[in-house]
Amino acid sequence: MSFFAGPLGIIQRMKAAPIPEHDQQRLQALRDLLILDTPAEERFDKIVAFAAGEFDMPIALISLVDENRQWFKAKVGLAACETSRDISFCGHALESPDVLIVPDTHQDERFRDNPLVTSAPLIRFYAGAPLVLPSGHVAGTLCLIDQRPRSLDSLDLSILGALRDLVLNELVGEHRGA
Amino acid sequence: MNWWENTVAPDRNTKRFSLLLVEPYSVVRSTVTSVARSLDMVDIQDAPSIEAAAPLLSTRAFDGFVIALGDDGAGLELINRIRNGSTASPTTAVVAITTERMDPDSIAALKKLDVKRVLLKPFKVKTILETIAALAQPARHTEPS
Repeated sequence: MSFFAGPLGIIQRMKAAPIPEHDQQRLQALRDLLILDTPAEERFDKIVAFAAGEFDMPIALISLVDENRQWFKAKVGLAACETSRDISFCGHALESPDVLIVPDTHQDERFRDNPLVTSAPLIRFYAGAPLVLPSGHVAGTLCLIDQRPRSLDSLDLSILGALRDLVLNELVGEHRGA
Repeated sequence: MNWWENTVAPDRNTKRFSLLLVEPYSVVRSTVTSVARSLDMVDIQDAPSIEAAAPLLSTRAFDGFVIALGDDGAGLELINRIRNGSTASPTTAVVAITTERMDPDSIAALKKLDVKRVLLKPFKVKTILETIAALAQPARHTEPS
């Protein structure tokens, strides 16, 4: 865990990704998908490639949040295949059905001294659409990352939501409707 | 109010604009259709190919079309069929096309067929949605009360 001197000289630290109340059930639902540590698949790769192009983002990921790590089922613009859960942005998106948007990490106390912000990949903007399983648990996110501050308008959010639904259809093998 | 609400959001006295999207790339097709429906922009149907759209073309009247031209000439043939009344849609239905290439002869042919908009690939989903909103706007009319 890293520390920094905040306003008024008060020592503060990065807020680690919180652990949801029913995380064991969430983890079981995730593991029941039998997808963790499987090879890359074109059906997921094409969605993250499309998302990166649609939003002009250098990084797009399908991130699944395991017990101690976030693991990337599909990725554009990032070499790593996983990172520690406590520093993950996607770990912060597990308790809400809404898209988590961080317009500028340097202005957000939860993230501004996060190692993923202070060193490569130097995250400044993050948007994560939660992958809500039929059980109601969130497996991870379809997320967009940029190295400069950004914003998304409501049409962008609708498009991101539609792409997230495509990922979910592939993950759970069923159609969830429009 | 956002642009798509301003142009196409239906109200009680507005005829609902119906549109057929023919797009082979599944991610584009699914995303456009999903967003158009979730924002209640238009009454949209989709098909991956003109062949797959055949049942819809013979049974449903569409106010507008967004058609991927492809290389086999089927897209142009469909626009000709719409214009000569060989589908269930009005001959005046508004048409936009998507294509990977365009030359002066093709542009002249599309103008003769009264194609309203050409989208060159690669394009963004957002651009198709803006095009659909633009196609739908002239069709809005107030029905007699």
